[in-house]
Amino acid sequence: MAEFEPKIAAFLCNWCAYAGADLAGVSRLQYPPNMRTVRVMCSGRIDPLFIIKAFKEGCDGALVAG
Amino acid sequence: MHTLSEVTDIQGEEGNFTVSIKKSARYVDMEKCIACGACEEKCPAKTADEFNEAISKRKAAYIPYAQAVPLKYVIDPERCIYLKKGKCGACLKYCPTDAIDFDQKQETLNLNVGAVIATAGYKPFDPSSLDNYQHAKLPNVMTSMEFERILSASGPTGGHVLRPSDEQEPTKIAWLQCVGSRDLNRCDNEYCSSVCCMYAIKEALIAKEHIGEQFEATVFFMDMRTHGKEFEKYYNRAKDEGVRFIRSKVHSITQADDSGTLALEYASDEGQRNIEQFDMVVLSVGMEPSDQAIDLAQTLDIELNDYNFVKTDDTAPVNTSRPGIYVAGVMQGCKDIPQAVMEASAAACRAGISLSDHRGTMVKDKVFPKELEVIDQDARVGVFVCNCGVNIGGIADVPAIAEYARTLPNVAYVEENLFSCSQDTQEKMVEVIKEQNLNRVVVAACTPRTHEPLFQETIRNAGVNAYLFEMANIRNQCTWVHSKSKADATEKAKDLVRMAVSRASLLEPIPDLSVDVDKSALVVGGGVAGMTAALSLADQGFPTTIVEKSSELGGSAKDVHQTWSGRDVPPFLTDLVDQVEKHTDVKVLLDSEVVGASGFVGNFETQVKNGKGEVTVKHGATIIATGGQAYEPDEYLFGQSPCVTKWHDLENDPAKLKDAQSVVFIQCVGSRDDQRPYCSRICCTGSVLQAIQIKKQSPDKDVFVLYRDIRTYAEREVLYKQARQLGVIFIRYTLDRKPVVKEAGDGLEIQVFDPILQKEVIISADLLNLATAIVPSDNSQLAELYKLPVNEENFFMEAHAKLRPVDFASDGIFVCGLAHFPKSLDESIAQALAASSRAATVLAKANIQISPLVSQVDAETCIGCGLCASVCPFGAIEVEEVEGKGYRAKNIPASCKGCGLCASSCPKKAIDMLHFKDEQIVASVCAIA
Amino acid sequence: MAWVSSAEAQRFVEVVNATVNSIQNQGKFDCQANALQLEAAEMTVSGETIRWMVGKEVEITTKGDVYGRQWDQHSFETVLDQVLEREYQKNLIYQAIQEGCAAPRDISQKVGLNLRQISYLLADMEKTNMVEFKGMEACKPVFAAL
Repeated sequence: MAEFEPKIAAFLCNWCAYAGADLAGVSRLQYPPNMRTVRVMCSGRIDPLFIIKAFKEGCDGALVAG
Repeated sequence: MHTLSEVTDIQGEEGNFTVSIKKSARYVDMEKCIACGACEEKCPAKTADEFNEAISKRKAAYIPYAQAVPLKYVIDPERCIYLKKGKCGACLKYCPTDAIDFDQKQETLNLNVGAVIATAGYKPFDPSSLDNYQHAKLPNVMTSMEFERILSASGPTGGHVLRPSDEQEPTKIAWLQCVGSRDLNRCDNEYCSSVCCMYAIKEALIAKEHIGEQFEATVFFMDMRTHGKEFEKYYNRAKDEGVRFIRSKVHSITQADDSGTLALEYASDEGQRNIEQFDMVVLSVGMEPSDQAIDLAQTLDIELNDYNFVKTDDTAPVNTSRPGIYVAGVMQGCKDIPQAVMEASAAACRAGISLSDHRGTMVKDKVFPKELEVIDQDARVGVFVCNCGVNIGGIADVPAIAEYARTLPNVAYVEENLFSCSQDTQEKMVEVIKEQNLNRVVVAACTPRTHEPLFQETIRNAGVNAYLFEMANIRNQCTWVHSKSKADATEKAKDLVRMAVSRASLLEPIPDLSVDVDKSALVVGGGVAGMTAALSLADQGFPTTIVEKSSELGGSAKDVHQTWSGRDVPPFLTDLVDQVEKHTDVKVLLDSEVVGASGFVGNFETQVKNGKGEVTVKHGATIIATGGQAYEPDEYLFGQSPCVTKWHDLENDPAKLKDAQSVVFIQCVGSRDDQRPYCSRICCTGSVLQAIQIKKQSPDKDVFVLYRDIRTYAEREVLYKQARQLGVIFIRYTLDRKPVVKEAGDGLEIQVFDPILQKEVIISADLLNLATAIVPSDNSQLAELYKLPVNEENFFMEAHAKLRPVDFASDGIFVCGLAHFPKSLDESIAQALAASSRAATVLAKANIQISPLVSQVDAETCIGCGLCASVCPFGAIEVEEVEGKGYRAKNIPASCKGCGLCASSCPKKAIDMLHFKDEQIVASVCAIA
Repeated sequence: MAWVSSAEAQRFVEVVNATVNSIQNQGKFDCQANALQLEAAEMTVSGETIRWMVGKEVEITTKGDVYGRQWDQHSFETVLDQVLEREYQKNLIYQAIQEGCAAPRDISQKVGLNLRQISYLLADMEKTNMVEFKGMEACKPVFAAL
């Protein structure tokens, strides 16, 4: 069986991790295609409810990066 | 912005200069280049990458570094095969936007400007001439700049620390301080470079972080100079984390074995000769004026000092010898980032004063068509999927993504573009939006961080509110990072488009938000910093009120005789006070105190109380310059013996000094200890200056300075040298063996352990002067009123230690002078000018556009608990009384940064963020799987 | 949860790799099978108790509580964890009752908590009007969710 490919909700702060992710693109760094980014203006905006919601809707994991 | 440009000539005078500029060809059309990197990939010509200190290679078609501004490619004519030999043209062939233009020629531009600011920077000292350190020969001897690149996550090794000789991870690294600084034997730089101690500690700690617990860092130094704000704490932390600091100058470096391990020979404090092996050595190289800076100074016809830095006066720290030309940064002298940033703002302030009559005369306003109503209308989403040449289209299946987008709910129109951001596509997009009656737009392309503003402007041109727009980042965060798996990239892109459409359908129009600006300022504190800030604002036409607690202007500068470079302070101060008092736009409130404050950027209201009663001052910007003073110690017989004084008390009492034969200074009294773990920055220079004065007047007097590290940073180092030459005796002590002071007859007996002699010495002293810590004024009430943060020692805390050194996190409030941290007069003036420059950015506008992405309180659900107000880092929520409802939270849009902390903490979920509403975020989350 | 600055592309990639790895090792998340737990978790994080405690953390750990007592980060978080667990268990029980498990024994089977804990929590839930004691049916106490 092929390795299980999870879907992961990635909550990224616009000013930090989202910008870091953009730079990873500019630098052409390669990483697995499992992240689905939700951009927020600050990691403080992330209500724990959003994470539970992600799991309820079928995500296998969540990442919060600020 | 003119890149690749050099000033070749300047004519005219302040207010009317003609500057000739030689602009070299970039060979890339900046309008067309989308920084996709195709040219770089196909370019066959390689050369050393200067940004990575030649540790890695770059192509002839390149971007100097990832964060370059503008982010556009450039072709290096020295390396390009086509430009050299007329053959190749690979970039020409592969550039998807036809941006390569080998026909570009060097141009000459003539600019008419009123003021010039020079910021040509420095170059790191080249240690290859130092034969004892063998930098050129031994691969594992690196400069700190090279090591910096090795540590960087975006550097040649991706942040993995590997030593060059065998690409193994080093476990033992030595940093050698003062390479190319404080040295007249092996180089010509007798000054201290100011920044190397701090960066060496930083490199040591980061290396430890990267390599792990087993890593051993050793720093060889002469005096540890961590005189900046919070720097001493960082030094202490490094010691706690096991970084070894050895006070010794390494004599030589030799290769110890075939693997490249190095042997360092040095003498210990006790005079013992040691040889120790290290895997690598980092040379902490100092700063020198760059050749370009010297050339530029010559072209601009501005004076340089003995070290080829631009000559300035301590009382006008950014003015050059030529009126209308200002200087900032290391071009003026060695300094760290915060100081350079302050000077940059200070120079802008000076230029702003010089040009204030012309402010705003060249501004044009853009007019947008009337916005369409969208409320109560069904969402009609238009999706534009960008190929970005081959950047997206070459990896993901764009037609399949577009086809998929058509199946999504609310999608009314889908189009594929070759380059969505190109001018013609933008124009076409406006037409399509109008034709198709689209009321929401999704662009699946690059990143909103660079392109959202462009597309927002486009849809505004089509009459759609800017916030009815969403981007799906299918390039930077998809095709570029999953280029090996086309199917995965396509699937992810579809998901991202689905998430964007789902969110877009729920987006709401948000009107622009602006607040009117009261074009006046309030400065709290009437010392040199406060007066300088007030005068420079008033000179730009902004009426300013100074609130001074005491009965006269002047602050702590009243005690100061001269600046470190020898400028007399009293006449300067008298003149400054005079200017303030005479200026029609400066109002001074003496014996006054701030007792109440409210409002936000552009619209503050401050209550000031004095003997005559209370007045309310309305102002658009606030500058905090409450100063500081020398701490009164309870040790070394201070206050008990008439022989013991502090700071300027000694020089201000010449009669007392006249009769003394032996004078002792003790440094770090109340600084750098447990209670005040910071260095007061100016005391070493202060005592050395006084010691020099005494020795100059009476060479036969004995002068001793008992110190822990001498921190005469930058060109102040020359004073330290001069003091030693004049016969001032410096004895080092440590915190665990502090000097002991006893009364003996009419004088004092001071006992101190001399680490060089390795024994206790007893000094008979007539006078003892203490360099006590500089402490801030009591700022607690002010901090509370304006909701401003202070650090553990009660100095005000700026928004960002390096990049925003005079701003507070709250907009419209700025800090300068000793209230921020101990600093010398020139630094205080520079910071005051910087604060006034930053304040002018607020006051210059009739109204300020503020981001409308702010929090919104539902007054029906809110219970007025005030939790949101207490969690808000920006003071952007207040709780106010609503008639019949008790208390309710209220957002202050001008202060709100849109972080959403309030929304996610509200126990009643009564707060939502415009444009990032719960339902909008949840819509994208729900569309993930 | 990770901190990544705007310049740390490499670090972002490391975080992604670690996250994907860790989630691959944990296996697919079955939201159907965990529906009850998810509902309870959602109730917990939406509940005022937890939101209050989290919101007050900075104030209480830096300035002290209303009784003037000082709390350090660790002791505050220990209490927070305890409250979180208790709220979550209460919400689990609530969800189980809503799904038709009226008696403590049925609830216990459904949510995997022991009877003693359930009785204790039910008593607490009664006080806050989350559940209601309906009476005895076939010698079993029966509860209803409110």
